[in-house]
Amino acid sequence: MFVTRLVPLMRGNLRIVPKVGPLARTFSDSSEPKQLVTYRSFEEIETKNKNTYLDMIHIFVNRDSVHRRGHVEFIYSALKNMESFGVHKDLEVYKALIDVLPKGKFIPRNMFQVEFMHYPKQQQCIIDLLEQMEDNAVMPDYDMEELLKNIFGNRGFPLRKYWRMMYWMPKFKNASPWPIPNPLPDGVYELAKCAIERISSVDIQTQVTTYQSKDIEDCVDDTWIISAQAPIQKDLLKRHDVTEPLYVEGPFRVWLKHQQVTYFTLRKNAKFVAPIKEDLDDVSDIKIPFFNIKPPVKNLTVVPSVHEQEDGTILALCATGTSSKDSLVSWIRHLEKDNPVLAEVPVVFTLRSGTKEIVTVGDDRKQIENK
Amino acid sequence: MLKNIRLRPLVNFYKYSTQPVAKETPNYDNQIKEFERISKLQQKVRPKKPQRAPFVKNLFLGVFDTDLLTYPEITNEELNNLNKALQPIQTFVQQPEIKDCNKITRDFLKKLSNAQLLGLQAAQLNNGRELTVTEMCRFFEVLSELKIRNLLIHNEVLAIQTLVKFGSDQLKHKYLEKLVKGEATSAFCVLESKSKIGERTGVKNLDGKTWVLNGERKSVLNGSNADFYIVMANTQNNTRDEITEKKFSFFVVERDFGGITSTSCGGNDLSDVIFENVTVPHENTIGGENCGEEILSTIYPQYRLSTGPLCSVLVKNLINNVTEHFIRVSKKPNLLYETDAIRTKLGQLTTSLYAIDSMVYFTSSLVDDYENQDSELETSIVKVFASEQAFLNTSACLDLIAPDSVFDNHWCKQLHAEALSQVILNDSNDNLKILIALFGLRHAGEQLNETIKKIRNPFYFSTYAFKRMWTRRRIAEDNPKLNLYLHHYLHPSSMLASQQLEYCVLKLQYATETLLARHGPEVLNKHQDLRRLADAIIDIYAMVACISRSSRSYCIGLQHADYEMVLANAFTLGALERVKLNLNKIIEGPIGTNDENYRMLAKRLFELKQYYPVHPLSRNF
Repeated sequence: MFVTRLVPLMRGNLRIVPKVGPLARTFSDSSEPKQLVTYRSFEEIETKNKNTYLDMIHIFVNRDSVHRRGHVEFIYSALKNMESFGVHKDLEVYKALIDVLPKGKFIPRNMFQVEFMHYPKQQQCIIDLLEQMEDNAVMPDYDMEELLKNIFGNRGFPLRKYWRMMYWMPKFKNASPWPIPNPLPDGVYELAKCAIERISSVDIQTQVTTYQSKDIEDCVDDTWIISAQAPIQKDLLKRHDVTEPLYVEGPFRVWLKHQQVTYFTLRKNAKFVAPIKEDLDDVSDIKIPFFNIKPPVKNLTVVPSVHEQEDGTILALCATGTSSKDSLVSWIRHLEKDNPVLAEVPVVFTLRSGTKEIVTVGDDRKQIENK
Repeated sequence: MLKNIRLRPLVNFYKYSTQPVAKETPNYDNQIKEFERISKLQQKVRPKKPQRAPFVKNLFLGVFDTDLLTYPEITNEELNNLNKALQPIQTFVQQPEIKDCNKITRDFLKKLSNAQLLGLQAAQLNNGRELTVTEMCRFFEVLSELKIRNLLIHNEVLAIQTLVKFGSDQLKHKYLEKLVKGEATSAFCVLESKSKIGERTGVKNLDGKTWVLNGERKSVLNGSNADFYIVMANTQNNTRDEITEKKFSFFVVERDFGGITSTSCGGNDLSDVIFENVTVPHENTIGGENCGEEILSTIYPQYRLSTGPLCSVLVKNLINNVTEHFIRVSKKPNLLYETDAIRTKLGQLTTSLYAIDSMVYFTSSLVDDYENQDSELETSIVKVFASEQAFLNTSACLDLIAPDSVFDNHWCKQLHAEALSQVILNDSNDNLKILIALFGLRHAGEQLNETIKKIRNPFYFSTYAFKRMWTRRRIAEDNPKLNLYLHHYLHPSSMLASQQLEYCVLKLQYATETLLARHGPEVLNKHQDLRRLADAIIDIYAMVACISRSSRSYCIGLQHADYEMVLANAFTLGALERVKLNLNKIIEGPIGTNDENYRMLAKRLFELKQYYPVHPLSRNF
């Protein structure tokens, strides 16, 4: 009883240590020479990739294989530099880092050691490592469990953290109602396609088509256009009053994991629908549809489609390779083939800014040039 | 019963000739024959009783027309005439070249016409037989022996019937006579492709004398061979507040008008027919402009009814074949026909055929006996019940006589295919079921409107709510007081069955009320509950037909009447279980049933556009 009651209290206190305690300060002010060496060495590497990162770990392990001093500090600084090496999503690297710790030494021998967090600094260090894994959505595997058991024994706090992760992370892994490929495709075109498909999934009949802008005469850009339009939208467009303008609006942003895609919409002003008073109790005149008995019907009104929203009716959706006005014009020209009414309607382009890039990689804020 | 049939020669003169002047022919024989034929005609006058309140529709309100528990009869005279007329037909149909003919040819049509098998309901003047619906059903039973039955009956009940009932004299003269004489065949084009519903297909020309038809009609029987097409076209759209009210008209279109292309789409001689700028003279409008719905709602009941005799013969053949099969394959010591497995199944088959049979003639007499009787619901029930039973029975038999039945040309396979085509042809059963329930609910809604309003607003009508809790307590406990006393109108041996029927009717009324009260006018879209309601009413109607027939047979001592009693009791008991299950689910509502789960699963299915659970062997980490 004593054991279990103490757990949360102790853990709560100790977790803060590396953040504000003297230990944490040692990393930031690099006054102590010993840590300075480790810390800088990561920064000083010129080619930053997984191999060099693993090499760094090997060097550390081999340098002082007997005492292996400063491993906690080493792990912390290694964790800090993961993103710049591009290995923050790599399970193998995390395992290699944990492997730095000696096996057997930190295993508690009795229940008091267990509850008072035997070797707290080391345990907290690994907990932080696991936390970083969780933040980066890296799911541990059974090897890691073995590793942690060998280091901290069956009752170590990192083990408990590991088990909690293994309970929740698989459950969240596939919880998104709009599944996208994992890992995300690299190409800008594929990403944009994923994004457009995700947005247009409100209407499952939507057809996503890819046009080439160069198929239209007088087009300056040569790029692709991913366009989405549902039959209902076509029908809405067909019935559109030609004196009223349509608007091409954007760019809007949508996120796919860490990637951002911009897209544009073709919109018309919302139609004012007077709320129709319907007697929900009146069953005296149930109208039987003559043909086609199954589609949902209302007695008095046409049920407005999902595209007809309060702030406007969305008629089509697109993402283009350049996001330029020119490519949007050719998008409208392409749509015209399916929707002849577009030739007669004034189309207004209300673009907020002329960004050139459609996909921004969120992580390092580096913008990928299209194509 | 002679007084019912008045005899008088019937000669009708057209006021104006509709034909160009015929050239004088030296051969008068034909004309003399024709004159003889006309002068021999006797007009059949069958008095009809006054209209009754719709029978099945009233069941939704718990009102039972006990007069109908007397199974209808036809007079001895009529029966004799009918049998006399059927005798030559039966031998005619048995001829191998007629029976196995699977394509309509001029020659074949001529033979049929000579046997007076075309235009069964057409006026005698037009060379028809002027049959009543009951008699026609009997004829159809005989015709069902033919391979080409579907085409024939389709042609008869749709095209010929439309012309008979709604065609002007001129149209009758021009087209009906040709059809009846076997000089032409027809096709009936109604179904539009789903995506194009609502497009205007018929436009009147400016001069008002011709129409231009455009569009496609789906799965038209005999579409590639027909000489005339009876086409339904959307001729007027009245749009008000975005709600489009569509008006339809029927046209007779000759193949020779041009612009008609048909593409055959496989079995049963089905085709898609495309009309491209077909010009049709205004005279060829059937029954006037924009009367399409009226025509359809008159023609379709009989068409649906015609499925009954077809399926009845199908199941009869099935049962006879299966019985013979088991007698043949049983060898000492394996006497299959003595086994429980075979006996119970075949018992079920017999029961279901008994129900189909009873239902067909119960309904046909309903149409025949009463003036302008509302029978849209009853005939739809016959269609659904007969075809569904045929389908279930044939699949049961396929299983029963396996492995013989694996081969495609096995008789049971063929019967099964035939039954399946009856299920899905033209009016698919599922659509029809929903229609059946809606017909009933519309009728019930008219009567129950005030009650439903009160039930749906218990806080405005609290006294009523409490009163209803008290008055409806027994039915709510599933123990209704049987106050219809149906057994007063039946043989005492039917006591138990009639009480079960009564329970079902009362329960149906309660379920109807509950369903309307729960959903209000939205009930229109609650298809799963509508299906259940339809299943229940179909079973109840079949129960009525079985019980009344068996009671009559028992009273007048027909052959095998004692077994009929068992058949009726067996059917009632089986149907009772189904009705109880269906109605209880309606009464319980969405929480008690599984519907909500299915809805959710299907919604996700459409979102992901394919079967979505991952493979059973897949791992997550």
